[in-house]
Parts: sequence; C-alpha cells; structure tokens
Amino acid sequence: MTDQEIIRIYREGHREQAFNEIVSGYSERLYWHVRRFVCSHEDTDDLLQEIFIKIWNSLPSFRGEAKLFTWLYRIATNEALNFLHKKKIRAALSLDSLTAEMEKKIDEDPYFNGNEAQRILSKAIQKLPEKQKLVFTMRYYEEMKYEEISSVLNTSVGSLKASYHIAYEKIKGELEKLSE
Amino acid sequence: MIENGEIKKICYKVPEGYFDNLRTRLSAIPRKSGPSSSKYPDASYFDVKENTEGKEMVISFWNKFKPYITLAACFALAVMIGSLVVRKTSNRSQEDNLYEKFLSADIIPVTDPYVIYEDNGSKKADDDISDDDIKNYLIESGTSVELLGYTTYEENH
Repeated sequence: MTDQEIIRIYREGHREQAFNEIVSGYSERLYWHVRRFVCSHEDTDDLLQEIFIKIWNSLPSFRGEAKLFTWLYRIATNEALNFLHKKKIRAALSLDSLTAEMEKKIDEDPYFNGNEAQRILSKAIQKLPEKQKLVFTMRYYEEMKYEEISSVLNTSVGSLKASYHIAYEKIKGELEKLSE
Repeated sequence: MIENGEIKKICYKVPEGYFDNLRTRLSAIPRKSGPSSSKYPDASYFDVKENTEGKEMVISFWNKFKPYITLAACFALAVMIGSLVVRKTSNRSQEDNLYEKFLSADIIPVTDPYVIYEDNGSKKADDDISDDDIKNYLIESGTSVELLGYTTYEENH
C-alpha cells in the first residue's frame, strides 16, 4: 500500500487499518535506522515501541504536507536522538564517556555478527557527533538521497554533503589505522 | 576499505522471528492506547535541537509568541514598578515642600511678603488708613453727629 493510500484510509476513518499498514511497511526499516544509531537490540526494541506509540497518538496532527515516510523518519530520528541525549547525561553524571559505553556495548552485543572491520566501523561511527552520525548512517547504510535526508533533518543539501564528507574522512582515517 | 561492499552489510542480527513478533506487538498499540486522539498537541513535541523545524510542524500561537509576550510582560512590570517608585518619591518631596511652606506662611504674609523687610508698625501700614476710613469707622461705631461734627470742625480748623 502506498503512503497516499495509507493516509486516505486513515482519513476515511479506518485508523487502525492505516496504522497497521504503517507498521507493516515501516517497522523493519525504522528498526534498522534506529539500531544503527543506538547499537543495542534491546534499546532499539524499547525505542520502537515508543516511536510507534507516538506515531499512533500524533497521526491526527499529520496534515500530509510532508511525505509520510519523512514524517515517520523524523519521529524515529528524534526519539533516537532524545534517547542518546539522556544516555549522554547519565554518562556524564557517572563520569563515563558515552562513546566508551557504546563501544563496550558493541563488544558485548550478543546480536553483533560482523567481522573485525565492521566492528571497527561501528565503533568509529559512534565516535562521530550526533548529526554527522545520522547523516553518515542514512547516506552510507540506508543509501538515502541527500534530498530525502534533507527533508528528514531539515538541513540544506549542501550542509549535508559537507557533513557526510567530514564523517566519511574521519571513518576512513579510523579504518586506515586498523589496516596499518 | 570503506568503499568495500562487504563492510556495508548489516553486522547486527535479531532474534529469530523478531520482526513478526514486533509487528504483532506494534499492531496492538491502538487497542492498548485507545482512540488515536493526539496526546501531543502538534509535531513540535518531537523536536530536539538538532532538527527543530519540520516543514509540516505546527507551532501553536502561544509557543511562537511566548518569548515576546514574556519580554513584554517583564517590560510592563518594570515600567509599573518604576512609575510607582517615582510617584511615591515625588509625592514625598511635594509633601516636604508643603511643610516648609506652612512653616514660612506663619512668618511671611502671602499677600505682602515684603512686610518682613520693614519695621514693626511701619509707616506704610499707617499711611494706608485714610480720613475716610476713620470717618466710616466713627459712623459705624455709633459716634454721635455732634461729636463727628466737632471732629470735622477740629479738622477744618
């Protein structure tokens, strides 16, 4: 079912059906979007619940001015960012570094099944500032167009390109250190 | 190395049957949460600093003008307090001046303030009493015509 059809059936009053279509069409995609950002499966699972509760509750305020896909991504991204903000505060209070905590999570994650290069890549991504991390994962892994990322993050395409380039160079540097 | 397609592949896994289970749990949200009535008034609820201004985001009138209204209220309050203080202090100085005026009013007649520069029972005061004034006084005080005539006679001679 297309986004337009989902919105149409929602407006016709078939709200649960429309929501279930969103769940079917987007839950897996949003899972990976969030998972790449927060690493842990458990955290992603909790966040997905929160995200879809918010989607259900705020569907009446969706006026269709943006694409449904953009709107869903924005909710998911904001929830992931809020989650990391909270984590960062907790880490600061316990005098730990969030990056170190995330690296530890990657090392101890029972659901990580990548090779060493992928582990280093995942850790290098966690070292990036939040915005760069978002841009990098959306462009590199999800292969989203800059225009799509721009509509989700409400940032200009030029700024996104620059942000991605910087992130890319940083990660390349980290991986080169490994191969030396 | 980063361009290598292998490294791009998903390096995380999920428990078996996870996505089916996830879809079932997520589909139950409408039944658990009740009707889809927005708990959150508009999409601005989802804002964080990094991406605050969504294109479809609705910013309520109050949220939009809250800083300006607060600023205006603070300014109005400051003006009110300032004017009250000024009014209070200016009243006090007026009262002080009035008190001083009362004090000097005992000494200086308002109608003729130059009198304080003259001697007691000054000529000026005497000069003001004319003959007619004396006559009027005598008439009003019941002085007899004979006596008045005598006085006039005395005056004429």
